[in-house]
Amino acid sequence: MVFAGLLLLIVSATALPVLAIPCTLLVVCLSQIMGCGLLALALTKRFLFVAILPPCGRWEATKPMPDLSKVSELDDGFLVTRAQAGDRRAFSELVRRHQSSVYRVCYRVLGDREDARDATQEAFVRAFRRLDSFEGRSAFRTWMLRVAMNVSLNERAKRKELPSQDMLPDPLPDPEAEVIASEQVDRLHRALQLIEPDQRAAIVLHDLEGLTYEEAAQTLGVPEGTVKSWAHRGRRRLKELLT
Amino acid sequence: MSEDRVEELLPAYVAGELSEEEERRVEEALAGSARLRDEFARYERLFVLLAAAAAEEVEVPHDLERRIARQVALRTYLGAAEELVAGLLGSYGRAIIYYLGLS
Repeated sequence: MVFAGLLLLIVSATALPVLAIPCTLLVVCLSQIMGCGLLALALTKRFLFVAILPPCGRWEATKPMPDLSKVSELDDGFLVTRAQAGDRRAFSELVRRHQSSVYRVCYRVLGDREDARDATQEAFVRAFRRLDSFEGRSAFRTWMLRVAMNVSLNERAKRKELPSQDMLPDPLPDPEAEVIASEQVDRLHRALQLIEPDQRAAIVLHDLEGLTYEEAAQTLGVPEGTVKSWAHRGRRRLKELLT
Repeated sequence: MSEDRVEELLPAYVAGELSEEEERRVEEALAGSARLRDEFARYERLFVLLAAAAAEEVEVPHDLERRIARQVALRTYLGAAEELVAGLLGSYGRAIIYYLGLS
């Protein structure tokens, strides 16, 4: 009976988290009936403390809380500390602040909007689960972009097919031309897919996202000189492909 | 400085990342080689394009924030449920082994 209840719990939690709570109660009642009082107690306590309270942000409710109505004025470091304690509102604010930057990096690495959306979600889920490993040695943005970059590059490596070079037919416009047509920018995004992942990462972070070489090096976990050389080699490849 | 070496330095030159000394040498080499000037022009075109791409607004899907929040919640629940079940199965397993006198 208890196992049946547990099965129900797993199924419901997988399908819909909302059902997890009533199902837990059901399991608790069933185990009470079966005379497993201690199990019921353990189950209730464990599920409440592990699954319900932290995501609701009540985990640290006894600690003094700053006025979260002004959450948008708090700095990243403080929000990270709150989020590390299980405060999902603090994490939501971090998501709100950094989602565009993360999405842009994913889009530029993956070259597809749908894939970029999925990768952005995955990156934030991973970041939330691994928040404890963020020690504040770099800015949260740098750390977050590193997670996003890893997710995107892994995702990219899984897909074998590459866009063909035939997709890059038109020559570049004259640098004097005032307006660069959006097709030209699309061509650049497609060409980015054809260069080495390391070079693409360096160009996306430095040339497109505007990180300094130092920040890009922190994001990629390599020395600054390496990022520079990746960027230079990547630009050479892009020049061959696009001009 | 050899022409190949200058060619290697061109992307950094266009990006303005060279020391004054290196810049001067690249400029000297550029003045003396039509091929290098052509390469330089190609890099310039590339940098114009990179700047345009950097300035381009990449539209973030309107429901992204909501989707992330949902995923984070769902995966936290799943992670906790997984842990719970693994813990319980572990306890039951140990109890059965003890009960059957296998330990």
